[in-house]
Amino acid sequence: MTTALTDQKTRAVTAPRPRTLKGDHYGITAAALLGALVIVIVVTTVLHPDFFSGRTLIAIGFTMAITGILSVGQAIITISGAVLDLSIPAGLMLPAWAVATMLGASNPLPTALIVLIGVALGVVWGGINALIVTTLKINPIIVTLGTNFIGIAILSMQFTTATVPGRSELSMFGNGSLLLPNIWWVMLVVVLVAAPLLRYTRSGRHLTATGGSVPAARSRGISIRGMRYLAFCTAGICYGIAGVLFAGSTSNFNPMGSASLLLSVIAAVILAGVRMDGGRGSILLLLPACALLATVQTALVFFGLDAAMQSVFQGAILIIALAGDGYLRKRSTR
Amino acid sequence: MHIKYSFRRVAVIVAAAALSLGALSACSSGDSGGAGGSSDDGDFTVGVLVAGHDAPWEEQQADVATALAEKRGWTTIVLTYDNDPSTFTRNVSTLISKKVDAVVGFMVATGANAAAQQRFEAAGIPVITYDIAQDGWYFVGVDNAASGKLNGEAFGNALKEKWDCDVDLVLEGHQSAAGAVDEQRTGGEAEGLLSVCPDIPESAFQSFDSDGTAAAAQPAARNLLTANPNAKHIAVVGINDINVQAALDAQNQLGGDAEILGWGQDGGLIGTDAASPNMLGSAFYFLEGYPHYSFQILDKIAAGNPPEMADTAANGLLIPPCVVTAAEAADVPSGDERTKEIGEKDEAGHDLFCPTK
Repeated sequence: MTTALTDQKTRAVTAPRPRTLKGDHYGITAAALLGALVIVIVVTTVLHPDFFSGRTLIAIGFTMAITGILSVGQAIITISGAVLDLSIPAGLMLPAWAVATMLGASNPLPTALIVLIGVALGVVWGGINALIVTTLKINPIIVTLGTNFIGIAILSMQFTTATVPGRSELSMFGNGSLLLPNIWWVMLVVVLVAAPLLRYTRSGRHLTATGGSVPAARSRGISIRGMRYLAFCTAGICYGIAGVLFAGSTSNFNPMGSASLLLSVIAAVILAGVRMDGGRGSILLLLPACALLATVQTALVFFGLDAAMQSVFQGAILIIALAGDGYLRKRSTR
Repeated sequence: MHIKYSFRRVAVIVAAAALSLGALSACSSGDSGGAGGSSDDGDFTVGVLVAGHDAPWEEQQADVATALAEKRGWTTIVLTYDNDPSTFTRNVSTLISKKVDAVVGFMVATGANAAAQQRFEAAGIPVITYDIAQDGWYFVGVDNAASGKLNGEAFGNALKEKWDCDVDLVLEGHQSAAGAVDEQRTGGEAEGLLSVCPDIPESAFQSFDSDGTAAAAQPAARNLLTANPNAKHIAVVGINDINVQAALDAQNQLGGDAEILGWGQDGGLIGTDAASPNMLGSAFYFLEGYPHYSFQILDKIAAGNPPEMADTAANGLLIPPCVVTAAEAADVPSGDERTKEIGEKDEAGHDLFCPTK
């Protein structure tokens, strides 16, 4: 009896270790993504030598930066078992609008403070989502769909077009480059910080365990409510950072301006092999996934294909990725 | 995620839904301006349909319409449909049930327009549509064909002066969802440019498309610029200022020694801090002032002498574009000031504010 109680107590305080299950196949996903990336680069360069240039690298860097940071937030939500956060457009636009408004004020606050406020608003947005999900116990997809509608509607009432002063420090940073766009380096830092936090910290492992199985996580003494807050607020940090950078790299925007990013973000998360039913996924793999999507977009323009064809290719890549993932999962369960 | 449905939760959801409906109902009454009960009381009542909140001029149009109606002792019912066809259809039902005498507005829910036209016609309510033509509705709109041509020519003259028409690449910033408007404005601007600089080769003209937001236009333009690394003199035309600005921003991000110049349309950014110094000019349409034109038709309807139906961009009431350079645009008053003045004076925005009229 004493032994059983001790075991139970031990289980309650011990976080699950990082899993290296047979079904993870992160290595195969990484190899497939990098292989596809190399093929796209080589084929496009052979047929259009101008493609292989620093200018192309900068264009791809800009395209993948905001998407990449948002993908980290989305991946954390998905891994935690909340499937998808559909409120990303509003979560991005709220801090972006606040930052643009503060920068445009006649006596603007110091840029660092504006950035902090922007990021904090992202966290607040995540907190609101978590509050509704945990209080009303409604499916997070439904909640975030609803909060996105409400958020965009409220923002639409507040502003039609937000303009960012071109000479502001943030704008100069957002549009500048150091080999690669400054905002790309920020994305890299976000990925490199989030990946080990999720995999090697106690909270990160609890979050992953919650996504894997809520009953099992609960039996280990993990607070499901706490994990929902952790997931949504951490994702909110990402949305806040992305919103600040969005304002810094886009001179004018309206509340509907980020709707098109949502599909790219979901595509990147799926392509990176994050399990949609939660519990598994690598933040690091978002890097090659976002790079592939952005590179394909740019490469197709070299072939003279229009935006509609770009969507066709993006869809095809997703279907191939999902089919490959399904095949590997079936094989691993045999 | 496991969801347990309990009575308490269902009660909370039902209460939230009831509260939302109550709030919506309150908002809806607030939105309706002078709508009290039925308007069938001898007064002349104008239904004003606002598409949404995408741009300041959408609500400013309603403000001007309300001001002009007040000057005439008329009543207005203002309804917003947020670019949503089903809300638009509900608004149509509301206006018919209120027995308005006429309807004016920006009807962007194009899929629902034909059905709305039949319902308004059956109810005997004349309609004036802004910019988007519909059989059976009076057309009032900017002369997009003239806008494209005049802006293109003005841009061509500027490029002739600066680069002697030596242009390597012309980026066309389209918004294909806008259909004929996009063709007339963006295509027309490219043709106008070509009429001044006829030696620019056809291969130099390349297009990108967007949904009208900088977030979509900027990466599209950036990729196109990347695919043309050897262009040294780049010109940008587009359906609106946002598309042109997005291309100018994209080139700024890519860096390099290429020179880029643009000329927008619609006056959305020109003359503001958000416009790049490389945007040389644009055209104001003074969209907030459209009611000045539509009320000329309404005056005749109210007098019992409705004009002959003119329901196309070819025979409708066309508003002239005001083509300006960036320097000239800086002297044009803000949208809020223009709204106030047009409402007070009931004169055309073009006559009041266009520095090049």
